This record gives sequence, structure tokens and C-alpha cells, in this order.
Amino acid sequence: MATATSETASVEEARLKTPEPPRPAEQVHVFEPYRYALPKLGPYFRDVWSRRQFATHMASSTLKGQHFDSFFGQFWLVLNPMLLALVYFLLTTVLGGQSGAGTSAMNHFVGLLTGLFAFFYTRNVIQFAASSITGGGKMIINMSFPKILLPLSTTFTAMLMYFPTLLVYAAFYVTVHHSVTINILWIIPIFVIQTVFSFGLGLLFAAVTLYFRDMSTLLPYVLRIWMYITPVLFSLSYVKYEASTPGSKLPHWIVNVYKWDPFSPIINSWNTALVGDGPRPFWKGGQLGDHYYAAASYAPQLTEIAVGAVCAVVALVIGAWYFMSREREFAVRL
Amino acid sequence: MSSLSASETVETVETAESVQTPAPAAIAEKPLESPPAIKVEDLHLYYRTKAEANPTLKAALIRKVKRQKVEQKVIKAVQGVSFEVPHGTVLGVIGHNGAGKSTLLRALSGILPPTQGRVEVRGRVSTLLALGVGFNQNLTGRENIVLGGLAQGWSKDQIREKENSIIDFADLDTLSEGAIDRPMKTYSSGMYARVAFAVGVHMDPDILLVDEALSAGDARFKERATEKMLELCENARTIVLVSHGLETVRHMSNHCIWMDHGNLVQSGDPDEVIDNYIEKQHKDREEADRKKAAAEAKEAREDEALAAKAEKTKEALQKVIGEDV
Repeated sequence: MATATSETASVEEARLKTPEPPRPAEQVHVFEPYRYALPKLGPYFRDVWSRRQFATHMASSTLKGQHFDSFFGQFWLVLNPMLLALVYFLLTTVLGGQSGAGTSAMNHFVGLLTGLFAFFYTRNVIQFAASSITGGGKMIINMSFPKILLPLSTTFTAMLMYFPTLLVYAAFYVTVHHSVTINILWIIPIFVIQTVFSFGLGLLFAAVTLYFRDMSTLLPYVLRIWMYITPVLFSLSYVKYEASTPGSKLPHWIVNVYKWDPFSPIINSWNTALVGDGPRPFWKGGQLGDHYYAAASYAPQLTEIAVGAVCAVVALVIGAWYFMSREREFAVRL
Repeated sequence: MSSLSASETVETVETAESVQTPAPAAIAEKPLESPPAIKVEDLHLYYRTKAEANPTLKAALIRKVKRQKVEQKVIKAVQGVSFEVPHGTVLGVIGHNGAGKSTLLRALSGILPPTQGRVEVRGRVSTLLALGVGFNQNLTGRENIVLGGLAQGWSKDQIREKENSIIDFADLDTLSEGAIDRPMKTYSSGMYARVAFAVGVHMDPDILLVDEALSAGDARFKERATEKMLELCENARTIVLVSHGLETVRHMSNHCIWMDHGNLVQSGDPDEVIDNYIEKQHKDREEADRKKAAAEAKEAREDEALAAKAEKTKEALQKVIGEDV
């Protein structure tokens, strides 16, 4: 009996021998020395699925615990990125002098909000996930569960914090009345792609932070720098336009930086679908050269979305692989 | 003296073996009916601790530049333990601090992967290793019951069914009216423990792994907790209980293992094992006392010698001075 090689066989055997065992061994867990290898994906994700309510409930409880379910809590969630948007607005208009031709101040501000709110969402997903494992020490060391639930839960938290900011954004959006077309629906698939991308990176950083604890102090700087090399505060075509214009301050190589940033296609599609992709940052539309740019929701380029989706899947696969193949070790490392 | 104590340990080991030999035979009949709830085969569990308490990228880079290597210490928490626990057994685990009891429990629940060996667990496992795992201090007791239940892998419907009996069991109203709807950060540690324990035992597990959880709460609650545990045992639940409360173990368990420095010293009837354990503890204490006494005596002798030497020097000095004068 003890030499039974396959688990199911021994269970079957036991069932055959005793028609009515006192406790049917419906769940058999075998724990053996770990290797850096993925757990069996079938049972793993079944376990994740059966505990999905835990992830969502913990996310809403976290917010509730911080009083984010009250009015002023929600207000703070919106106020925080708004104030930051104001800072960047001053930064880009006063220092950069970008509110020039074709752009009203309000238009520019809404344009900034578009990219910033979306970027803050990704930033929150990554940052919350990064601290989810080191912060969930008590749970990890006292309970056996698929650890992916912790970053999953913080991702839900980030999502719940994101949605109210979108409502405020909608209000601003309507005030500057961009012409809205059916193309605005593109933001839904883009949001999904962005979430997958952020979650994948979140998983990676969650595991890395366990090995290098100072990652949590380094990460905010990395994310801030990343924001500047992603078309968040201006559109991609603005960078291209400026870099290709002779006598411009921008060197040409900067275009390559934006081109190779994996987050670039996602955030640029998002901006395009909402406020267009004019060569001036989020301008209100007009003729430039021989091309007329409207301030409207455009259909983003399909290739751009496809590249974004591929980046998201690659991030998820790498993040999940790194996280899941090491998660059995987490309890020892904490 | 040392040879004497050595022979005594051998004696204990012999008794352990003599107890152990009939035991597998008794258990051996059972596996034919049903496989054991828990089967541990040659379990080793080592912690590799690095010299640095807080691993950082900075430290790693500095090491890289200096071409240093990290010193790794291996702590052997569990070294080659094997046993089987049939369904319906309440297994008490005793041993001094750092004997590897909690580590063993964590290995059984699948939290810590074994370094070597194999653990097989059959049934739905609930762990009570620490109280209030997954609780959020800012939420009310009622909300935390849901959260704790979900953390244990329950669905919301299942929790809703049990919620009232959990609240009844925790019995907070007798302590403070309406406490269950107040944030848990306002609770006393005993109240906190009550809620946490109530959630743990109501999860209807096949196998319950408990680590010192019974020591929580006041005498009355402890009684109720013990009652609940006995009730669980009667329902053919398997319980592994780690405790320093030897009387609790004696009272509740029907099988007992004694661990020492990661090794299984003895396994068998709780009374026997606990008596041996207590005897060993006494002996250890006596031994320690004797060592201490010896050390003190040595110190005293040294002091004396030192004093005598000082006296001598003083005399010699006086002599010299006297001669000088």
C-alpha cells in the first residue's frame, strides 16, 4: 500500500477495499521537497478559483479598513491624483511652455489627467503587489494557500481605487466636450490589457521584493522615471513631431526610448481613444502642416493594441512563472 | 557522572522503542480499512538562514563588488521524523522550545516545504497556528469572521450559515455588549483570541492542526474550547495539538509524540510519554543545577585562591615595606 506510486491509485484501492470508509479521502495533499518549478497548474488554479471570494473580499475590506468606503475617503482617492495632475500641469505649462498653439489650458489639463489616472492605476497595481508578500507575512507563515491570491487581491484594491477616479475624469471630460465617438469603447479592451500587463509586473516585483527588501524603496523612483519615458504627460506623436522638427530641443534618439518601452503602446492607445493623438500634447484640435487633427476619441492603431497585448501576455507569463515557481519558498524566506 | 546520565538516556530510548514496537502493529491493522490521515516519512526540514536579517539589493551589490559570499547557517529544525496518524486520533506533540514542534506542524499543513522526506495528508485541513490570521484590525468582529473564514478557504454562503454559531461560541456579549460590531482594534487580546479561535474550530475540518491556541482566553473560555475540541475528536476528526500545557495534552490526546532538537524521542500513550518527558525535564534541571553548582563552586574556589594570592602579595609587600622601613 505504502509503495503505491500514484496517489489516485492508492485512493481507489482504499475505496475498493472498504465500500464505506469512515472518511472518504477526497483530498490528498502530498508535500515533498520543492524545486524551482511550477506547481501543478490544474489543482493550483482550482484552489485559486475556490478562494476567489477571499481575494475580492480582502480587497474591499482593505479599502473599508482605511475608510475608503466613506465619502471623504473616496474624495481623497480622487483628490490625490488630481493634485498631482495640477503639479504636472504647472510643470509642463510653466516650465515647458507647452500650452501653446492649439491647446487651451483646460484641454491640456484633461489631457494630463487622461494619462496620469491610467498610469497611477498601473503604478498602484505594481506597488501594492510588490508589498503584498512581504506585508502578508503572518498569513503566509500560518496558512497554506496559493500565494498568488495576495497580489491578486491588491490588484482588486487598486482597481476599486481606480474606478471612482474615472468617474471624476468623466466629469472633466464632458466639461471640455471632446467629441465622443463609438471609438471610445476601445478603452475597455485597453483597460483589460493594461490590467494584465500591470498584474504581470506586480507578480514579478512581489517575488523580487522578498529577496531584495530595499526594492520597495527603489520601486517608486523606478516607476516615476518610467512615467517620463512613457507618453503619459504628452502624446507619442508629440515626441515624434518634436524630435523630427529641425532645430528642436529633443534629440532624435528619444523616439527609440518611447518605441521600446513596453507600456508605451498601451498608454498611447488609451490616450488616443480618449483625447486623440495630436502632435501638440492633448490639444483641442486644428490644422497643423497639411494634416487636420481633431480633438476627439480616435480608434487606436490596431498594431499598437496588438503589440500592447503581446507585451501584457509576456509580462504575465514571466511574472506568473517567476512568482509561482518560487512561492513555496516564500514561507521560509519571510 | 556523565556515563551515568548517558546510560539513562539509552534507557529512555529503549523504553521508547519498546513502546514503539507494538504501536505500528496496532496501527497496521487500521491502514487496511483506511489510509492514515497523516503520514510522515523521514521528514527533514532545515532553515537556511543568511547572516543578514534583511536581504537587500544594496547588500547584494556590495557583496558582488567585494566578491564576498553570504555565510549561510543551516538550522535543522526537524531531522528525520516518521509517524502515522490514523483518522480520529488526537495527537499531542510535546517538547521544549525550539524542539521543532511548530515547524513540524507547518510542514503538515503544507506551509513549509520539506527539505527531505514526504508528508501525506488526507482530508480538509484547517490550521490554527496563530490566532486571527487574515483579520483586519480596523474591521468589526463580524466582518472579520467572514474574512477569516474566506481565508480558510470557505465560501461566503458557508460562512453565513455558521456565522451565528461562531458569534455564540465566541460569546463576546457577556464581556462587553455589542462588541462583535465594533472594530477589532478595540478588543482586548482575550476577546480577539475568542473570535479567532471560534472561527478556526467552526470550519469543520477533517484535520485540525492547533498550535498553542488553547492557551488563549480566560479559564471559562478555555473550558469551552476544550469541550469543543473534544466534540471534534468524537466526530472522528483528526487533531494534531502542539502544546506546552502537558495536562491539556494528557487530557485530550490519545497518542503523543515527544520531540527534542528535531528528533522524535518517543511516541506512544500520552501518560507514558508525558511522564518520561517530565522525568527528563527534572533530570535536565538537576543536571543544570549540578552544573551551575559546580560552576559556582569552581568560581568560589578561584575567588578563594585569588584572595589567598592577594593576601600573600600583601604580606610580601608588607614584608618588603617593613624591611625598607
